Amino acid sequence: MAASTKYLCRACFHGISISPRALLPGQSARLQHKRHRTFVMERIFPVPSGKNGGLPGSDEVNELHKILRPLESLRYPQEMECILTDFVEGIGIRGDLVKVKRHIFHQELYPASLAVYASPENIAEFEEERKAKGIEKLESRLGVFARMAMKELNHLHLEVPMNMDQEWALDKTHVQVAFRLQGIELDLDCIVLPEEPIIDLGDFTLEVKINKLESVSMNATVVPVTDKFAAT
Amino acid sequence: MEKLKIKKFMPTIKQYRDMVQKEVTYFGKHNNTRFTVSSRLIPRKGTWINHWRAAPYLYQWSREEEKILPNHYKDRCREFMTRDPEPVHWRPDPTRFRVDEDTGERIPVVNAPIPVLYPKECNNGLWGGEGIIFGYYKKTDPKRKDKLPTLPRIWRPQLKKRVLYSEILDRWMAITTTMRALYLIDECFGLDFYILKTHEVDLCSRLAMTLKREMLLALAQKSLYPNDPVKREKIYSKFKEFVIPEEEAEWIGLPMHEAVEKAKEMQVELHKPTPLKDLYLVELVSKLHIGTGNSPKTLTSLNKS
Repeated sequence: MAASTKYLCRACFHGISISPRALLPGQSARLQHKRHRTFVMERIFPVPSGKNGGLPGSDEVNELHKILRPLESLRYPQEMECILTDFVEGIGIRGDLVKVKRHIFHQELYPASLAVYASPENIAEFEEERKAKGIEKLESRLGVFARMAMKELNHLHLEVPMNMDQEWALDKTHVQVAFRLQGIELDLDCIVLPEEPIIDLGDFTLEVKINKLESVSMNATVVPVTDKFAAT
Repeated sequence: MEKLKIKKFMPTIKQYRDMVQKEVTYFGKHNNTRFTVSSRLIPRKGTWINHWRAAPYLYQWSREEEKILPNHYKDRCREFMTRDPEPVHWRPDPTRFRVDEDTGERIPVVNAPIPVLYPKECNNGLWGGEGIIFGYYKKTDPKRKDKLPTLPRIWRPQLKKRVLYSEILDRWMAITTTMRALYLIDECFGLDFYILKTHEVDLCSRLAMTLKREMLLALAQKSLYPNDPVKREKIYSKFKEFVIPEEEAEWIGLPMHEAVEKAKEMQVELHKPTPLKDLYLVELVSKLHIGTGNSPKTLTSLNKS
């Protein structure tokens, strides 16, 4: 897994971002075009038939028959299907049939034995494994994005702004608003507050349930609103 | 006595070609003016390749070597020399005739491949049938069409070094490939399937043939994964359809000079000369027995052995 983490960010990156080359007008398309292609050529002057009706001999062919023109630029597809044998961040988990960029499979996933070819034998093998484990639906397990969200929440520190002019007890709605301020939308069912009621400023820990399967513990502090949003 | 006048006789080009190809001898007006072709110009066996076909290597063997070499090897070589490869750099036209626009004449279509050159280096990599195209190129610019010249140009494939894995050999290899070769490998689900499925004509490299030979040998001898019997059975069943007998697998894709050496060694082993000392020993023993007057039955048995 340690080896994979290095590549993961790059793998995510390729999907989302645009390479700096692509920003240059005209040049990028040509370079991309050049990289994956086979020349398919055509004669401008077609070859005459030989004496016996077949291909002409070497002496019957002219120098003019060597003038060529490109008929078709054959580009090979950039993406391919593969089955993952391990959890790869941003791509999928074990047993997933996913589409990845061809060079990522060749240079990163396959050498690290994180993925195998999606041949019919391999597909049947992983299908058996899935049935043996008793997992029937894809939704009943944590997918890629759930795991990414878990990792992001682990690194996050939540600040819950409260108004100090009034008396209050911490509620789920307060936490939801605090999450929204950080840029995360949550349902109220996901949030699990500690049993003791929180009335004062200070640190506390809360839990967030993901897909009703696993919970992530988070550190949070209650701060006054005036600290967070200073009056202008 | 009339003096013989020997005239100089040079055959025509057609005659000369017949001499070379069909081994015919032509005479002038007089029998003494025979023109013989030197032996090195007589084509050797296995040169059926036509000038429209390009290949990275050839199989050629002489008449003496033909007697030694095994039949299955010769058949494979013959197939390589005569079979047409898959079109890579050109598209064959399925229609039989094309109509001339001016005259309305129907002209038969000739599907002539575009001349491709395979350099030495393609024998060390997997190019997937791609090669270097030599030709002339005419730029098309509508403004100044007449002024633009036709220039000689080379179109060459994009080569990349990639790490490929062979399941049968359990080996990682850094091989120069093209995008086409990588695509074909992915289509076949792995390097092993690609090399075992595709014909020698389309593989177009010596390296692929050596890999093929090693794979088939490993399958025939069941020498893959010596320390892991479970995985051996699994992979053997995966590649079961490609298994051929070991005697044939040894010969696949051998270059001609190596094959001839091997055949010569086999010939030496077959016809081993019996050492003279054994023959003399038998003779001596028989003589001694005659001297003593023993029974002749033992003598015959000794001689036979």
